Amino acid sequence: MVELSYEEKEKRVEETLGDYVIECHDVNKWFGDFHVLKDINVKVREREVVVVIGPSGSGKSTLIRCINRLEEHQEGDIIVNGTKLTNDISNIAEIRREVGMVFQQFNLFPHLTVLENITLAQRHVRRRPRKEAEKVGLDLLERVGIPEQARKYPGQLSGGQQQRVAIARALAMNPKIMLFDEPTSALDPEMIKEVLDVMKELARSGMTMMVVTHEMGFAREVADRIIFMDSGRVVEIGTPEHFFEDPNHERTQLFLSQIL
Amino acid sequence: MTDFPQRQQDLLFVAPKEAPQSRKPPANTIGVVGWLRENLFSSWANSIATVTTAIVLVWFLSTTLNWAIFNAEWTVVNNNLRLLLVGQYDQNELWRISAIAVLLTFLSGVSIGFWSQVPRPVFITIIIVLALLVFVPLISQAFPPPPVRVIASPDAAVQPMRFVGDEGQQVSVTIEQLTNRNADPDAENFPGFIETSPGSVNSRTIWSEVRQGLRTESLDLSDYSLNFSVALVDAAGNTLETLTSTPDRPETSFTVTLPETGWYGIVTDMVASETGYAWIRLDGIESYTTQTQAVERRTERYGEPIDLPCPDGGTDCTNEVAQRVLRYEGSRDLFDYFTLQVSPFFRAMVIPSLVAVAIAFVGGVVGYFMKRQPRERVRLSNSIILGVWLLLMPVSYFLLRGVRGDGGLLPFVPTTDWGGLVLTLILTAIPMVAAFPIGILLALGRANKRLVMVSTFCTIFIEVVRGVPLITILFFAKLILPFFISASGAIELAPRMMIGLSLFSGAYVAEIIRGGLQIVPRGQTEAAQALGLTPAYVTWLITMPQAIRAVIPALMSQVVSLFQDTTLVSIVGLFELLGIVELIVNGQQQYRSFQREAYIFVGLVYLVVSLVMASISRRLESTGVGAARR
Amino acid sequence: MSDQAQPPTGSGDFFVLGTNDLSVSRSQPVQGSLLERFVKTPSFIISGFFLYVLFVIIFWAAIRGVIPQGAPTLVLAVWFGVIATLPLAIMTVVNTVVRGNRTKIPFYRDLVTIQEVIQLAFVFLVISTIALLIFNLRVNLADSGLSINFNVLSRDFGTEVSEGPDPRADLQFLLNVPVLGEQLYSVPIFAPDTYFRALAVGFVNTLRVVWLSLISSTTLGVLLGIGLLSNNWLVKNVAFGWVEVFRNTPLLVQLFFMYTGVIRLLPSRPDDALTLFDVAYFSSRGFYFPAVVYTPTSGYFYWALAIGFVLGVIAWRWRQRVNEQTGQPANGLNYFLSITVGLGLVGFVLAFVLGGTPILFDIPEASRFNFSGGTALSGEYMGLFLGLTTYTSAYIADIVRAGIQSVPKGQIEASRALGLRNMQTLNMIILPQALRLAVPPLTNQYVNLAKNSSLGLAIGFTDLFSVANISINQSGQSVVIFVVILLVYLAVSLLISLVMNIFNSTLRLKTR
Repeated sequence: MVELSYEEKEKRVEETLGDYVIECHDVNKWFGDFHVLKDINVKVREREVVVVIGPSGSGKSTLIRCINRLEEHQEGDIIVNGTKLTNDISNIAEIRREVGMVFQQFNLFPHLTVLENITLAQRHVRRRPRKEAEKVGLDLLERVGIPEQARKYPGQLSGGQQQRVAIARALAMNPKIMLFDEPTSALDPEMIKEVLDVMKELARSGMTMMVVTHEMGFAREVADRIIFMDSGRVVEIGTPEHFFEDPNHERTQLFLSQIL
Repeated sequence: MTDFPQRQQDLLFVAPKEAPQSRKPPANTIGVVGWLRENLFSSWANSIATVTTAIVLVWFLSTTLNWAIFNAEWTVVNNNLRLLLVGQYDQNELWRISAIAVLLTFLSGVSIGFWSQVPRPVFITIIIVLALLVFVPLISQAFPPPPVRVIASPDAAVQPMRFVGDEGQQVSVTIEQLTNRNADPDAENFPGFIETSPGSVNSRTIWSEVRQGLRTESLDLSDYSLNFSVALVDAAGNTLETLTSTPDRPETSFTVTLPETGWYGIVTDMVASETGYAWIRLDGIESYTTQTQAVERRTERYGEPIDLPCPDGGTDCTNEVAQRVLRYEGSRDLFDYFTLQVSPFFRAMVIPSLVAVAIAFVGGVVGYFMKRQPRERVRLSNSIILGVWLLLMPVSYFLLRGVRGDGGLLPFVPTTDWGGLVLTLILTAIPMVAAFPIGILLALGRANKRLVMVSTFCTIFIEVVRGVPLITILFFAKLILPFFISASGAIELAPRMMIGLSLFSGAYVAEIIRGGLQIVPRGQTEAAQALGLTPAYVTWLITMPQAIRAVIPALMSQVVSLFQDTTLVSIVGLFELLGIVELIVNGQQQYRSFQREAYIFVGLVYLVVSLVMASISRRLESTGVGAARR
Repeated sequence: MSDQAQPPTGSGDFFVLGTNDLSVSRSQPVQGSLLERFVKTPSFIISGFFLYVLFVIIFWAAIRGVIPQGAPTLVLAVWFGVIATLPLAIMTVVNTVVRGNRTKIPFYRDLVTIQEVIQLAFVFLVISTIALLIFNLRVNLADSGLSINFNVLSRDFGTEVSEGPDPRADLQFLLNVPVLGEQLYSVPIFAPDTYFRALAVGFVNTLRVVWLSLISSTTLGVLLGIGLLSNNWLVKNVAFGWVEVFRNTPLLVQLFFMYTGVIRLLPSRPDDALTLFDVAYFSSRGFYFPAVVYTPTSGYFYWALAIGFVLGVIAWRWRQRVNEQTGQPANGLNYFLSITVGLGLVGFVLAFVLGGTPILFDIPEASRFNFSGGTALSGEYMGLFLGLTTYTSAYIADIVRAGIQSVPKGQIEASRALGLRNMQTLNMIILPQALRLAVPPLTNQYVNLAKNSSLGLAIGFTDLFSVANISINQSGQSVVIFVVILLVYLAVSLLISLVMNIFNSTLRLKTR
């Protein structure tokens, strides 16, 4: 493998990817007295796939939940798509419109059919007419490979199917950025692949993605960069090759030696 | 079969080609014996418990049934069904209640047909109930009506009695001498009606005096010197047949086939200053009630009641063979129980029940076909049915109340005239519907962690209302509430009670819904927020529907408990189902001693309705909205 | 491995943390002084606000001078709302301006400001509405010739009360509570001298019926609950029938039935009354039974029993500790019983030696027109007691059943597998877990029982609510009396909840 210096890598990233769409500057967050996020500086570029990995309790989920304001940070700035996250309700609304999110527990709405799950936000946030929203929904279900399940309720689907519906639901809002919070952790092993395939296809289509996951294979194959976090800190950010073959930080090395 | 060498046969085995039949388990673990062993006599302690419980149960059931069948007087219910159902609602305006009932039944039928299927047990129950309603009155008509007795005594003249008869009906009149033997208080009683017309002297008082006299041996009936005759007369005053009882021939009787439909009478010519007692027994005569409607119907069929000449020359002394002046004496047999107690009730219920089932069935068919339409139409029908349900309540209220002033078709019926089961249902339905939004708002207010002031206020309100007895809230609504609005306190009592009940149930519904909100996982809210939905949409579209679905059983039991709590308005002065019993008992002296029967009937109504609601709730829980979706 | 020690930080796309120590964390920075933070706590704001509103209410007469005279109540109420919410409004405006300067967010888009304004509007609406209602109430009452007068409580009550403690003595009468009705018929009928005392008598009567119904319905309910879980088909279904019937008929119907259909139909003449061995009598006037009479030497016995009880409890505790430390069997109950009974016996003998028997029973005697001696519970009391017991026991039975059923079968199987005997399984495994689940709904039922006792009014039992009803009819002071009974019932509800919560928290500690 050709050894590239950091300057060269950065240059390559700059050339292939677009501008920054997520910027975290010195973000700090506490739950009560517990310091969850410590001086986080993370930037994500357009069309980039960034994978966040780290041991459990390292604050990776909290970080991406801060990006669409499911959690409030106390210090520092988070700028998404040029909009700063503050208590300004119109900023929050704008960011949530542009950022889609997929959860570990799918969080589909159990009282609505699959199609209604997908059309709900389109109709009430994007203000699309029912016909159009349903068409978008059916197209997306086609894209994630389960068009025949549209009239069923989430409880009648398998976990993998539910997670694909959740991805379709997020995509239906035409987001610029997708956040994935451990999307495969709650799935049975044989269903993980079908979800990862959808995510890979999405990455190939040029979607900006920030993914918290334990799937090292996925990280290696798809990620542009990998962020490694521990104890609320960003420990290392690097390309997959660099991260897996030649990590810099002691903690990263230790982590990799334990999981590989 | 494979043959193995002898010495290997213990170790090797091949199953025979034809497997042996599987055997039954030991006889004492299956069938009736097994069931009994397992469920009733599994151990010594268990056997003792079974026997003790069985003895107590048999004693309780036999006493209760014995009383209910042979002694209880259910006519207090049968003769007051209208009051029990609709209270003192204007009789000419009863069609409004019927109209609402028809609408309600139809709509229920449509909803059942549209949203679910009726399980087979329900069908079977309905058919059994209907069959009972139809056949019990029919069968009991085959039995002769119990005899009506009037006493002939030396001290008091026998009042003439009038009754109605149809052409061809067989009526017999018998004179039975009262002797020391058959009047002995320990001897077998005379089952049948005894005349007990209001006043100090009637056949029943004389009869009990006679028996008292025999008990204390101050009276001897062996000497019979009565000499009198009894005549059967028709409406025109013609004598049809005469009986004469003399000391030589005290016992006599005749049977007459009535020549035409109309009024008849029994007249006696008692000669005073003689000794002896005798029964005048009338067989084959139907007793009747003196309710306004019944009287009208009777007059239409038989003409105006006749007046018979009084024995002492006065006027207006005629007694009727009406239940008002009759009292069943002696131990009743099962036939009389069905004829007199059960069958009038069933006869009154049969036509309304048949009509209701027919309407519900038609509704069900309509609903079923509405379901079988294309998706768009079904969605429309869904909203239409929901809309009609929502409209039903204000429309019914308006219909029941009418228009003040010159109401035209709908004259004003003040809520003070409402009563009975109808008022109970209104007092359940309206407050429950009102409690729903109140409860939702209070629950949202209390669950809101950010708006501290709002949640504090909602908490205080909920806890105060839940911390005090309902009756204090009803008294508040009765005594203080009107002064919040005007000095005259002009709002009627029933609406005030509705306000009180709404606030009360609102607080309870709030707590139920708050419980539901806590069940909804946080992820649901987060997912909705992440999609960009505003807080109002998140609540309205995501959390609230799920919360309410989760607590439907609790909400249903709140409906049941509100339904039972409406009884408290009787303390405040409304005549709902329980309050009307007091009205009946206080207004009609003859039912004074039958309060127990009335309360049992009312209790049964509550029991049946509550159990039905509970079973609906259980059904909703297991198969209804959203059960399959989780 | 790269030997690059310091990571490039250039544009921020790549990064390596400079330090190996990841555990360093700092606590959340605090803004403002201690005082400033205290002032911003919700509890301070709410209590301060309530104090201020109280202040406004007290000085309302003076404040009213500012407002144009003769204004309609609506205008007055709005004024009241404005004045009462003024500090909140000022706080909101100041906060908004300060925050706006700091964050540069327009105020109409700032989440915090929006919440504060909604809150302010809500408080204003609520306060104005309450003020409107109360102003209306005062005006309307005055128009109909009534006025709110709290002095009514010390006025002469003037009507007779048929049962309860005799309130003509000083306030100590409240301590002589006739727990089972000892003095009930020694003071047949009396008239309390003030409304306050009449209400107190009613309150005592409420407590009398509540505590006994509470015990009886719990006992019956637990038995029925066990019956519901019995593997005996007959017992199970009888219990089930009981629960369904009494839960699904209204309490008031049950009360009317018990009173008019059972109690009132008992023979009214004492010499016809149903009797148990000529010791206790049931008649439509009430239930007459022997009373325990205090003798001069009773004190010895009761004190000995009490001391024995306390010592017994201490011994029980001590045995438990011994059991924990040494593993010897605790036998706590045996120790407790033997000490209590033993000391009781000693006291009894001592009393007997010193001057005669310490326990005497006064047995009621039925004559033609009256009962003499003994003690009694009135017919109304019995009706209410029976109705409350049957009704509440049905609910308690279901709670007990649900509690026991909530313990997973595996728990029982596990304890059997460990070799625990049946009683041990019940005591150590099932009950602690079942109780934890059963106590909160049980608390609810007890509170309901206390509240339901107010239905005694319907059958003529002179409980708190009946006396309140008489008071309102006599004095016309509905508002005052209403406030009093509201507070009393709230206090009772809270007290029961408090006791049960304490019980519940001890349970929770035990099960941990």
